[in-house]
Amino acid sequence: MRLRFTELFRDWRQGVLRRLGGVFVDSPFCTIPSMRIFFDESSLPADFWSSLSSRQQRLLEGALNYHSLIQPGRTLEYRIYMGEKWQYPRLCDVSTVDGSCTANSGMKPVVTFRMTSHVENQSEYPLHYFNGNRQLVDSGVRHILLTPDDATDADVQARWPRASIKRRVYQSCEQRAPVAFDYVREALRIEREHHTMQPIPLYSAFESEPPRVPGTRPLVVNGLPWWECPPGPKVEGAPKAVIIAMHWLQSGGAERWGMETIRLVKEAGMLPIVITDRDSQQPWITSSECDGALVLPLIRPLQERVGDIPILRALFEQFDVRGIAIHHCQWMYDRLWWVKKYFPHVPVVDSLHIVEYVMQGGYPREAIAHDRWIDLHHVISPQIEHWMVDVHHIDPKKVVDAPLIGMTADPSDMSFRPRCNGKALTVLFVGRITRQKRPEAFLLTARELQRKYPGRFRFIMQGSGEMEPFVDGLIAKYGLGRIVERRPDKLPVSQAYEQSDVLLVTSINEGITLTAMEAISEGIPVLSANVGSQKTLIPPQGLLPRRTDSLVGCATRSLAHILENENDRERLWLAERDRLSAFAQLQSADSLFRDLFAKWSM
Amino acid sequence: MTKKNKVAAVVVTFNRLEKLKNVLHSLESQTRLPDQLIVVDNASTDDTAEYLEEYKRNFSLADSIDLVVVTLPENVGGAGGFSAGMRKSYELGADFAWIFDDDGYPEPQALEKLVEGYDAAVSELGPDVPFACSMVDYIDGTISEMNNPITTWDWGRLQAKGHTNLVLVNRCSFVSVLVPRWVMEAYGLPYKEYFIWFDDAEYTLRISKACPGVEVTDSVVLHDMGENKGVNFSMIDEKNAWKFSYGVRNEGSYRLHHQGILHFVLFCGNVWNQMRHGNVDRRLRRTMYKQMLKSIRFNPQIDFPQNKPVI
Repeated sequence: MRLRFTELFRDWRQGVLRRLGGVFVDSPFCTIPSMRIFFDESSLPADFWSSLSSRQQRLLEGALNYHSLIQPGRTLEYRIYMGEKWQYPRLCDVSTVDGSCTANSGMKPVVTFRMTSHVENQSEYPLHYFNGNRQLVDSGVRHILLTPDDATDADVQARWPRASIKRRVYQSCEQRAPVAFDYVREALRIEREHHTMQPIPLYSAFESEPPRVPGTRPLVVNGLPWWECPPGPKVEGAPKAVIIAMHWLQSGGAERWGMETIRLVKEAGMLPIVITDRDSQQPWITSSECDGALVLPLIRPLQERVGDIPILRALFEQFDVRGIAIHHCQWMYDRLWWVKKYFPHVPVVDSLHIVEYVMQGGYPREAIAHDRWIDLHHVISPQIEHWMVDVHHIDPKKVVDAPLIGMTADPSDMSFRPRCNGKALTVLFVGRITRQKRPEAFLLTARELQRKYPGRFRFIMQGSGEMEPFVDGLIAKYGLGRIVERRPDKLPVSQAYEQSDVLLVTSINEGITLTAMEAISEGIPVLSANVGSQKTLIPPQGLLPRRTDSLVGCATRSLAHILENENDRERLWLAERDRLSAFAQLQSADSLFRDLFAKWSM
Repeated sequence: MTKKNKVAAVVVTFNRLEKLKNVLHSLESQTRLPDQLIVVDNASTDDTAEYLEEYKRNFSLADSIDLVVVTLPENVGGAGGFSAGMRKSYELGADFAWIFDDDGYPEPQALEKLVEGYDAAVSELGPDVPFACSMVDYIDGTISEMNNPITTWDWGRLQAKGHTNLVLVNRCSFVSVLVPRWVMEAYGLPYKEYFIWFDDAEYTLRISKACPGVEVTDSVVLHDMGENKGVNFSMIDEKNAWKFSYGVRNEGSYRLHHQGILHFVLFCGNVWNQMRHGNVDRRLRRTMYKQMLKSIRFNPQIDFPQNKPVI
């Protein structure tokens, strides 16, 4: 028994070392410096650890590292709870201090242990924090909530409180008359588009505004004082690292590019520090890109103070941070002032994918609002470059268009893929089931084709997301259950391409879709809504109008034509291949970031 | 509290030299000496300044205690004095400010027990315990009527764990209160604008919103006040009306701006009722009503020691 415990512990420790930057004996990234584990791993009950899935292990590692980093040298009691599918993990937000999502909700911990932080602090770390004006009483306990591996966003959303009347009216209109309702939505979009052309105020949160005349007026924000806590020097032998700030670790175009940059950081011989800032089940935390990375799935609100960001301070003390790459991470955008205040020479680059119309402009708007702290804006399409440079007058030298060519598609070796099935044409939808992707347009097209050409078409919808219940409802309402196959995003997308004849992109808004590049590379043509920079890849004969009713009509006619004219399907693909090849002549995002990271690592 | 932590004793004095001498003597007799002694002279007009000058020159514990005299240009009341003294302790790097008036005589073990009691509370409740205060006795050994801390509903929580000298409280007077540095940073200093009365109640209520403080009953301080009796608004007379005026304004402001209009109305009604029962002179009653009106606009802002004072 004792032997078994020892073996288990050794295996676990090796696993941690491997994942947290230990030397990779059999890895191509063997130049990655070994990294500290920030907690006393021997305190972790081995049998409990071995009972966790690899996803849960990594989530717990992230939580333990986070708390150890901001409470250096302190011994804390950790209570681990196993949540339900409708919950998100609680790893480091203030609920882990006050137990509001766990202990105070009647949950019982599955295991409790005490663990000491091994962090050597280089500056003072407070024990006292506030959430707004409310002090968080620190009893020395941290409540960590893990969730089952099969939990999804839909599980969580199914338990959300009943929507407001306004929301329910919206949903009802959308469900009952999606085409008619699209006119309303299009009008809203035009209004929002106009709004995104207006000047964007620069970010001027309290953190970024020092006292006008230093030392003459107190700086107090919402009754809380400014805390001046300069970071200490780096620890001796601090490994070189790059902070990759992401939205979350789950499927999405920006996330796929984010994961690629993690790989590139390792390739450059540095340690990736992966930060996320959104609630998620974080399924991609187990991906190979995260091997060897320090992953901190942050959930806001964190233990922070006005003027002081302990987790960033700890990272800059424990690592030789060489740069920051942002992929849709609001938390990081809002804390760039701190980085540039204390480390003005640390380069910051952000990646932007599409011009967004909701949330007053979304992340591109944030990029502009925080422009003074960002050294380079990486954009993936000419459309967003134009929006930033010509509309918002960002210095053109700071904006680089480098498409995501090569990451998901290989234009150098492409060939047309013949029809999978002689009788029926298979139409594919790939992407998150969200408002942006407009899944109802795909289903309306399916309904129309089925009505006009019964049995001649089949459809695959691959993806997951918040609108899954809506999509399932429409499939049932239109009686499409037999011809539309729903697939979760966990399945390999390559399989879907192999089994399809044409990709239909119905999005309301895009930059240049990765799925279009993938499909063309896989030898199947793409029909796409004429949004964003899709016209860069898709020729006029493959472009569809933006509005839903027109899009459905055009898509129906085009697909019916392709059904009967295989030669035109191939011609469409050839035109798209040529455009993709021309597009690939631009410096790719991979190449840009490989060069950047090589420079940062020197 | 680990040994390296520095305690600054902060004494505020105004024209009570003889009592101040007793206070200083009591401090010198402590079994656990404070690391710093900050005497705030509130622009005294008697011989206090000269005495303090001489006291500093001949300070026998200069090797152990860093003595600092802060002479204010004008009398800013007890509230202003405590604010200035605590700010000074912060600027000198003290980890704790131990504050009291010039008529509070700590018993020899007062600080030692207070520190031990604070440490014990922290070990049980966590690092957020905002203050520890002493048991305040009158000079005859009976309890000081006007300095009883207000206990929390679960005041015996630490007693149940064997700490029979610790009582959970959320409000006390500034007669021997140990305030950690982080509290001054996070919650600021007492309102200096209060001048006198209710500054201690407001401050201890402010800092104990999340976690209660503790009264350490074996840390004893003798309060040398003239007469050992509590106070209420039925006792207003010509002699003490000036103090009650501050009290009505300060507490009215607190009730209105920190608790809400209902609390303010109840407070005003209570003052009215007590003055009626005490047959307070009608002219003095009108003075108090004016103070109630004044409290509507009186809402000082918090000073934080890490920020420089407003110029």
